[in-house]
Amino acid sequence: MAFLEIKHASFAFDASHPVVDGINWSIEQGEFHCLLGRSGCGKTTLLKLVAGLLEPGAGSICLQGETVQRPGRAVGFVFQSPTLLEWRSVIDNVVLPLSLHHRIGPKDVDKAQHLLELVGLGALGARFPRELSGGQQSRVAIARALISEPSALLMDEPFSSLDAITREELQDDLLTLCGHSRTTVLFVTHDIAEAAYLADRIAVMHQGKLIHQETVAMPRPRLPEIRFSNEFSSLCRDLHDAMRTMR
Amino acid sequence: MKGALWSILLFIGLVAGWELFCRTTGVTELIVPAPSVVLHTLWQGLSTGFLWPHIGVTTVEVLAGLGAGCIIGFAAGIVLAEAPGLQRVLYPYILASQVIPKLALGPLFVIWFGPGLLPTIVITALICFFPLLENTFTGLRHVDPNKQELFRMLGASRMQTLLRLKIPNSAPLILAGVRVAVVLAFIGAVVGEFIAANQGLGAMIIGAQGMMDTSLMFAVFVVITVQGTLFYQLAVSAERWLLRHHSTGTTQ
Amino acid sequence: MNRFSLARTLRVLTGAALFAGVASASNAQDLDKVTVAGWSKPISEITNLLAEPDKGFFKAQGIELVYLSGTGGGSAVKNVLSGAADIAFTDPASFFHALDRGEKLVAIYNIYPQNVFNVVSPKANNITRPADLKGKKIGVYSLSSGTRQNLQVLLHQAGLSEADVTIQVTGLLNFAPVMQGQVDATAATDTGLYVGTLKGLKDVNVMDVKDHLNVPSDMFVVPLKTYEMKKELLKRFLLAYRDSAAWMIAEPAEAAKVAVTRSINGRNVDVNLEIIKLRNLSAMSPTTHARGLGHFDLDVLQKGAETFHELGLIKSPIDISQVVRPDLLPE
Repeated sequence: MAFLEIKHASFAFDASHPVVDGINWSIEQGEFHCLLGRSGCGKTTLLKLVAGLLEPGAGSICLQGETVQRPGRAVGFVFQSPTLLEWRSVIDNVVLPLSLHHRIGPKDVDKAQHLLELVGLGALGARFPRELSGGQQSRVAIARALISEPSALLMDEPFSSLDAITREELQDDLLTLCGHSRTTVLFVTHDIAEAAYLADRIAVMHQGKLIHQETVAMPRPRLPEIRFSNEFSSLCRDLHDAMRTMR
Repeated sequence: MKGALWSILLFIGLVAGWELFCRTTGVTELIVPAPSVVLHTLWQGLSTGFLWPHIGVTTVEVLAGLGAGCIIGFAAGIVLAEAPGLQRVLYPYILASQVIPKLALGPLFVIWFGPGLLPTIVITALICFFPLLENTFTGLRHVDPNKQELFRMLGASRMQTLLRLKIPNSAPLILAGVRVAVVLAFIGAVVGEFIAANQGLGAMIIGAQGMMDTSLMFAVFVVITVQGTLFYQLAVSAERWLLRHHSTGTTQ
Repeated sequence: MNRFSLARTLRVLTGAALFAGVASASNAQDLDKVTVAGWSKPISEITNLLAEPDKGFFKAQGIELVYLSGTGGGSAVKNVLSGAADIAFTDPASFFHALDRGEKLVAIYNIYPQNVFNVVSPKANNITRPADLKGKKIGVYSLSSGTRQNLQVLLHQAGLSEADVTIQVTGLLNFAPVMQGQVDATAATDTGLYVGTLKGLKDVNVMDVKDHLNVPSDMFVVPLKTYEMKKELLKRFLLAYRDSAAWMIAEPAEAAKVAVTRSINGRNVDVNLEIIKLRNLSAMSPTTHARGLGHFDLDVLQKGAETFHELGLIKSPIDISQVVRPDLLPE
C-alpha cells in the first residue's frame, strides 16, 4: 500500500462534464510528485479531492491506508494565493492551524519562530501581512502549512504569481525544507520548468485524465545549475511535447 | 493638511459673507440671524449653564441609542447571515420597521415607554440598527472564498469560522456602518425629542420656535453640528486604529 | 479584547445597573406618582408646574409630579386615554372631540377660564371685526391647533365659516408670514402676540376671541374611571395645583426666575415675567374671584359646546353638566 493511493477517482460538478475522470496514481512516502497540466485540466480539483475538501463521485483516495473523507490534520495545504489573515501578525498566522485546536503555548510559538527562520523570515514575526512582499507572504503560507508537522503537503500553484527569480528561490527553499523532514509532497503547477526542477515523478493531466508520466532521474539535492543542463532541457522538451499534443 | 486649510478658509469666507449680508440688507433676526448674534446667544447659553443640561440629555440619548442599536444590529446581522432561511422569513418585517417614519412612531412610543428619555432612545436605536444590520450581514456573506476554504482545510468549527474569520474580515464594513450610525444617532435623538422629550437639544429647538427665537435655534444647530462632527471624528479615529493592519487602501 | 475581559466587563456593568435600579426605586416610595400630560414642552407658561422641584407644592400633598410633554391638546388626551398619563392639561376642543368619539372623560378643574386666542393683522389691512376676515388668507399654528379651532369659533360668531377664508399653516413661528405679507392675518395667542411684538411686530389690530365667546383655554381632564376610583388623590392634586397657581399669581418675579432653569424656553427673565403675568390673568375670572381658582362657568362652556356642534366639529351635542365634575375642587 502506497503512502498516498488514488484509485479510479472521479469528480464532476454536473453529470455531463467530469472534471476528474478515473485517475489512478500512487505516491510513496517522502516522494515529491508534480501534477502538470494546462489551466482547466482538473489538477486543482484532484488536489482538493486528495485534501478532503471535495468528495469523489466515484473511486477513493487513501492516505496511509485510511480513506480520505474530510480535511485532516495530517495534510498541509498551500493555496494559490497566500491567503494570510491581514489582521493578525505573521507569527499569529503561522500558528493559526494550532490555535484552532488548542490554546497556544510558548512551545508552539517557538515552533512557529523556527519555521519562519527556516523560510528566511525569522525577523519578521511581528510584522503584518500588509507589510510583506508577495514572495514573503508565500513563505509564510508554507510555514503555516508545515506547523502541524503534516505527513503530506499539498500545494496548488503556490508560486505562480511571483516573478521568475523569487520563484526559483522559493523552489530551492521548499526543496530544502522538505528534504529535512522527508515530507511527501503533491505539487500542482502549469509551469514545465518548475515541475521538472522539483519533482521525483511528474504526472501530466488533460481534461481530467492522466495522459503522460515521467520519472525524473536527476540527482538530489537539485542545484540551480541543473536548470541549464541537457538532461533538464530534454525532460522539459518531452513534457512540452506531451502537453502540446493535447488540444 | 492643505485640504484642512482650504476648508477653514472657506468656512471663514462663508461666515463673513453671511455677516455682511445681514448687516447690509437689514434683515430681521427673526428671519436670518447674523453670525455675531448667534455666537452671542451661544456664548450666553454655555456660560450661564443654560444649555449644558440639554446637551447632556441629548448626549445620553445618542450614546444609549447608538450603543443599543449597534449591538442589536450587529447581532441580528450575524444571526441572519448564518441562517439564510431565517433571513428570508424576517427580512420583510425588518424592512417595514425601517421604512415607517420614526417620527410617526414617536407618540406611540410615549404611550408604550412613558415619559423620560426612553422613547427617544428607542427611536435612536431603531435608526442606528439598520446600517449595522445591513453592513454586518453583507460583510459576513462576502468573505473571501479562499479564506473560507483555508478554515475548512484547517478543520475549524462553524463558530470558530464566524468569530475568527468572518467577523474580523468584515470589520471594515461593520465599522463603516458604525460611522453612519453615529451621524444618524444625532438625527434620531434630536428629532425624537421633538415629540417626546422635556429636555434636550431637540426640545430646545421646539421651545425656541415657540418663542420665535431664531438665533437660539441657530445656536443649537451649531452645538449639534460641533458635537456630531466630534463624535464622527472619534468614530473615524477608532476605526482607523482598529483597522490599522487591514489591507485596505490608505485612509488619509 | 479577549473573551475573558469581555465577560468580566459585562458582569460589572450588570451589577452597576441593578444597583442603580434598586437605589432609585427606594427613593420615592412614600409619594403617589401622578403624571400630567401637557399640550406642549415644558414652557414658561406652566412654570407653576415646572417649579415643583423648587417649591414642592405637590410633594406637600404627598404627590410625586411627572410632566409628560405633548404636541397639542389632542396628544395630551391621547396620552391619558392610553394610560401613559393620569391627567390631561388640555383645551375644550380636544375634550369635546374625544367625547364625540365616545371616550368617557370628565373635566375637573378650569385652568384658564379666559380665552387667550386672538386674530392679529397689520393695521394697514383694516381688519377690525370678524366679518372683515371674509376672503382673507389667515395663518394658523397647525391644522389641529387651538388657534385654528378658536378662529373657527370667531368666524362662526360673524356668520362665516372656513369656506369663506383661506387657512394657511404657518407653524409655530407664525408671525413671520404676517410680518412679511404672506398672509393677511394670523390666528395666535396672547403670549404669541407678546413675543411677536418683541421680535418687531408693530402697528397691528387685535381681535380677541374672548370678546365674542369666552370659551376657556385649558382644563384638567381625566378618564371617568380615574375620577371614580381616585377621588382622594385627585382632590389632593387639585389642591396642590391651585396652591402652585396662587403662588405664580402672587410671586410672578420669583416664578420668572425659576423659569430660567426649569423651562425650555425661559432664557430671558423679563420675557418670562410678561408671559407669566399673561397666564396669571387668564387663570382668573369673576367666578374664580368669587369661588376660588379652578371653578367653571358652566353656561359659557355649554355655549362653546353648542358652537362646536353648529360648526359641525362634533357630531352629537354635549351636555356639559354631564361631563364636568366640579366636586373635587378645593374650597
